[in-house]
Amino acid sequence: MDLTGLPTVTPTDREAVVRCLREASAAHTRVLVVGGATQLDRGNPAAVDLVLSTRALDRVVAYEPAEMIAVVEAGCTAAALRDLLRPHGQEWPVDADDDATVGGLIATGAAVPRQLGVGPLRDSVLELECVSGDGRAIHTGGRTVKNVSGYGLPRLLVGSLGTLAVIVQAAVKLRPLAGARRTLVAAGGLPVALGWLRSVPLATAILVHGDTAELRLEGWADDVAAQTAWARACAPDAHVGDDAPFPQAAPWSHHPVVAEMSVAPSRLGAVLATAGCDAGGLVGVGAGWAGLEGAAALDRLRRRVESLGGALPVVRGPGGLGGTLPAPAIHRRIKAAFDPAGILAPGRFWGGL
Amino acid sequence: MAADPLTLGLYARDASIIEGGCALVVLPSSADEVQACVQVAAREGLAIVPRGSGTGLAGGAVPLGDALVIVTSRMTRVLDVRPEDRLAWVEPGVLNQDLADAVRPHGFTFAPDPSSQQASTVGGNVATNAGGPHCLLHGVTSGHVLALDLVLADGARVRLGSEGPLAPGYDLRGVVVGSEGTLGIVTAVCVRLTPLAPVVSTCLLAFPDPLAAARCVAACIAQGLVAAAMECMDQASVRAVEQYVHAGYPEDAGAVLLVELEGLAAGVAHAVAELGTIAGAHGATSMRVAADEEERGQLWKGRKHALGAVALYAPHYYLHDCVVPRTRLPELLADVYRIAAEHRLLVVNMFHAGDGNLHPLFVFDRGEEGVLERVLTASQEILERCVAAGGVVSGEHGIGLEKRDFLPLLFSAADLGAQACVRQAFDPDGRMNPHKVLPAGARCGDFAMARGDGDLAAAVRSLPAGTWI
Amino acid sequence: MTPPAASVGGGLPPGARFAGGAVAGPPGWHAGDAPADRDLAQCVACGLCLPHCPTYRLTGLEVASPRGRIAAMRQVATGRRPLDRVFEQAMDLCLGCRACETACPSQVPFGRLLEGARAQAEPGRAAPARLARWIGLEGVLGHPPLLTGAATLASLARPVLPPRLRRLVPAGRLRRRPLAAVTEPSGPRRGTVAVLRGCIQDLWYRDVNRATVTVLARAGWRVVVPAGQVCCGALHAHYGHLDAARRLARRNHPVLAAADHVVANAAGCGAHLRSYGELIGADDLAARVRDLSVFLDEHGGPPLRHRIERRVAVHDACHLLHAQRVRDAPRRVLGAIPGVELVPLEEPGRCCGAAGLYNLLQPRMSAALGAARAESVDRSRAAIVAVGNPGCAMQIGAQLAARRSAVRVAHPAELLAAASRP
Repeated sequence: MDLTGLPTVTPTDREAVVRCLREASAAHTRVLVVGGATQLDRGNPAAVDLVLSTRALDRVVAYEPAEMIAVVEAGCTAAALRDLLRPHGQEWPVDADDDATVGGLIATGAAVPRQLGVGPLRDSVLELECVSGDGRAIHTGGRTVKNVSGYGLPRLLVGSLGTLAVIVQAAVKLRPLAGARRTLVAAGGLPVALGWLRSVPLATAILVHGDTAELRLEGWADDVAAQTAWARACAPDAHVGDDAPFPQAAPWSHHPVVAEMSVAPSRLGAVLATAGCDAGGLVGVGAGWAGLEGAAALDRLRRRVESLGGALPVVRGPGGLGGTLPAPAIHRRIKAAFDPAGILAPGRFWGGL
Repeated sequence: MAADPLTLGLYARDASIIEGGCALVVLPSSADEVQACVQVAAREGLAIVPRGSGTGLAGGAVPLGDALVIVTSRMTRVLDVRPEDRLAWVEPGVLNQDLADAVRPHGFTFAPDPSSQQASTVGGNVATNAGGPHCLLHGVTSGHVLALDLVLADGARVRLGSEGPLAPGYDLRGVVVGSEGTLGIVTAVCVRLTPLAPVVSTCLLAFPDPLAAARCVAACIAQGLVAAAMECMDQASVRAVEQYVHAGYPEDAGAVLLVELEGLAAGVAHAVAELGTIAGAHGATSMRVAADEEERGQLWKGRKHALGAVALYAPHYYLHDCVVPRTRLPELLADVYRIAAEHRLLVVNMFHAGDGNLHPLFVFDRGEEGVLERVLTASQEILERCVAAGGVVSGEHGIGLEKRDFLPLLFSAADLGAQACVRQAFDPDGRMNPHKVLPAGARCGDFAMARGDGDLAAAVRSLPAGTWI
Repeated sequence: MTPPAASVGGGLPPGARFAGGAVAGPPGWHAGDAPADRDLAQCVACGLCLPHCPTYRLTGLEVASPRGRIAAMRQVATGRRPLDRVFEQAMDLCLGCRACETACPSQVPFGRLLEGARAQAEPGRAAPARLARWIGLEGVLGHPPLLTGAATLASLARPVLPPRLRRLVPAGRLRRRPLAAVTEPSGPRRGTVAVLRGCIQDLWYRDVNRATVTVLARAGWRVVVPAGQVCCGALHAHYGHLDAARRLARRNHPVLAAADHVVANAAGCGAHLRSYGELIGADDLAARVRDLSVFLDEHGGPPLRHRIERRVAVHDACHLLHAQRVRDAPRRVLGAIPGVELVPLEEPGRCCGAAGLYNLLQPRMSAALGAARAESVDRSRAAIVAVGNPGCAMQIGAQLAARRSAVRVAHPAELLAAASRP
């Protein structure tokens, strides 16, 4: 999405967000919330009048390592959070670009490469402070790892693409950084990856792209060593990289259009076969990414994925979200309640909300 | 279908201490029958109260007035187990334990394991976003539900979520989990299956008092020791349990901590050693590691039956559920004992220490004059202390009828209004399990904006200097 | 911190109240035996019993669950509901298997509650039902000659009975040769054991009684079968005829109390003899009663000289497993037989649906449970299913026959007698 020429407001506290959205609602000014601008293309094309940047909301509100919870403002970047947590041996395991913001990551609900081992992003969001489209400050969730006090509104906001409210602050659940981290890379593609899924009990992630399979191992050094041996039974020539990044390669990222795939795990092979060689899939999870050349390729893959009951939103380039919305009336009522004037990126969300 | 007074009386309560009444009870055996029941209720304007096994502790399944109770206890089919997709589709009346048993031969389990797991239904687990000891490592029910089939209040059917990691739309699946039957009736659940841990080690540690145990837990979390479960029981609960289970808990200890570590052999051994070190530094007087599956089973049986076993002390109980930041556990525990003493009440504590999830349990005899009032007053004081310490009023039991009027401790009128709006989006007429979860005063209208007259320019002018790029 | 939206705390909405306090009126019980308030109060309604209750499992109905039955008793006890036909039916559907007692962390004495509730339900029954029960329990069961007559009639009538009943009546002639009053051990004598003959057991399964005497004698005991013994009264108690049960207990007490040990080979009788303390204050006798398997497990069995190369499944009689809390003893005793391979049954501890007179009074529920049990016996691929209770043996035997299964039903005593032949 091209934001050139659009006025940008960069509030520095929640009150400023409240004022901005009240005024915008009153004036029917369409607003796009932007964090690190790493996922602007995710969503259907939406015409807006104003950009609300969360980048100046970048304070660390509370971080007590013994609680394994960090409370930061939405504009805090993934890099800043990583630097904050690393000295205490902890991480928020979302594997995002340095520039991505915590608020942006939550609003997009992006797939997590290590999801097999660390769980999806949505399960790590404990509390959200946000401002609805009409400028109401709303507190949702709480700063404890377990909480059923009222409806799970943080889950509603994860992946809402800034169409319900502006996330201004989040409490996220952390995990200890593993003592040993290793990435194995082997030839053999999906068969090797599936072999690993069966024989490596504590795999943190298994990625397959083209003829390559990558296995991520994290944990106690002894366990990582034992699992490496088991992994080698499937792929004797696997290359071992200690403290190496994961994934090692992202061939899809070089394409003009990148789409995020989601299918039931066993359908991954069928989808990858249609997607071509510059696609990668997370075995045992069913998520993946496809690098595509243009609309025709996207249409073909989208038809395939949706026929298998999955979804294929584009995350970079043109193409929007695709898919059909379940329970559209409920969606419309929720949207109308949070954003009665319809100013938050109208049309960006699934179903044109 | 049942409408005789005796049967209706039996559905007037769940496992909480609250009792109501209902007009009609139906036990459908398929989603079609659920839909038909809901359509009748919609036509007649009846309130609907979904119910599983009735093991809830917050009154979420307690019907009021002329409600129609829809019981899922006949919807007990495991529809499809798909190990290759790490998921299973089940009907809502399948018991949690039966699901775990059904998927175990495939090398998987259903991770949420509330203490009621042998009796509670998967539908009920979804309704309360149930937890359990092993949620420390694996997370609560919302993380283990991929998709749901729901019958809405108007009789429409909808599938929310997906078998894959992403579904189009807002995460309505995530909102329905934990909504206590107020958004619709779940007729099928797609659960995520968790691989069984290759090696499991269960350790029983004894401490001179519960505060020492709580400090040990906080230290373990702080040092990054990842346990699958960390359960604490004080001396009174240990003694009650030993009467029933003979689990071999040390009855002379002030508190015991049940810690489960899982993973691979080497890692588990490291973790056990590390646990021993931390526990030793925090005053643990003994540590026993279960030698085999049978001993492990006994240790867990003790924990899972602790609630019922307190009947040893008095016939009635009131079980609380609140969560505090884990570093505040020792302090809150001390408060709980102090508050109980001030109100001349016997309190027993058994709780999910690793999550900071306290379960103060008042044991009393209703026959004693004024005792219920004292229990309720003490309960309120405990909740207020938890919230003041940065905690919340329920970790896994839910709000139900029991705690709805405590939500304002956590949420403003606007916050609750936003929740009411979501509820109204699902159920505009407010017939799904009315009076539950939200306080009587919470209305969607509270969330509507009092719109100002200003324009964008005024808004921009009102922003602090330096906010423009 | 945001300002509170409404007053904190507050009460319950209209129509809700705190449970357990309300008493609507005087208890609806008749005079005589009734569920005790103390026992009723012990249930905290946690629901952990539900999955263990066979009738709840089949119906999903709260009224068919232990928690529901207790709640129903409470409704009567607090004067909210009358003692009526609905209540009577709710109590009748219970098997009395007492699996809920094993599962109950609050240790609610459900068996005792049920006996009280059934004693209450009895006077309200329709006249024909009451008469049939009276004839059966007080008339026939209490009087050995009448019982023998009835059994003979049943045996003679077997060919013309409806199939369901026919299968329940074991084929073959009733055994006429009586048990020896005294059997001396082959070797040195360890003490005297009195054997409870039982009613059904002695009529249809006298071979089991004979095997029991043989096994005990081979284990070194002087075995007596006291002459004055009558029916133990278990069925009377379970079906609410508590006064008759007490009369029978008082007759048995002096007759059996003379021996060092008392052994019962029917789980239902054994469990009931062990409750004589509660029933008539005969704690001295109750404490010395053991099921045959437990007695042999505690004191050692006979020398086992012969192999039995068979897969054997043990079906736990409810009144052994739940009422007497015995699980391992029969397995240890049978597992000691050379060649025996013990195989597990699915759903261990599940009732077969025999439950005393249940298979006559609740035929549909009983048949459903029996069929399920027979199916799990079949699936275990055992050659023999060992059953330590005559009711269960009849029921499982009938259901296996209906499935045309080749699995044979045997009492542990018979297997032990075969393996200990000189």
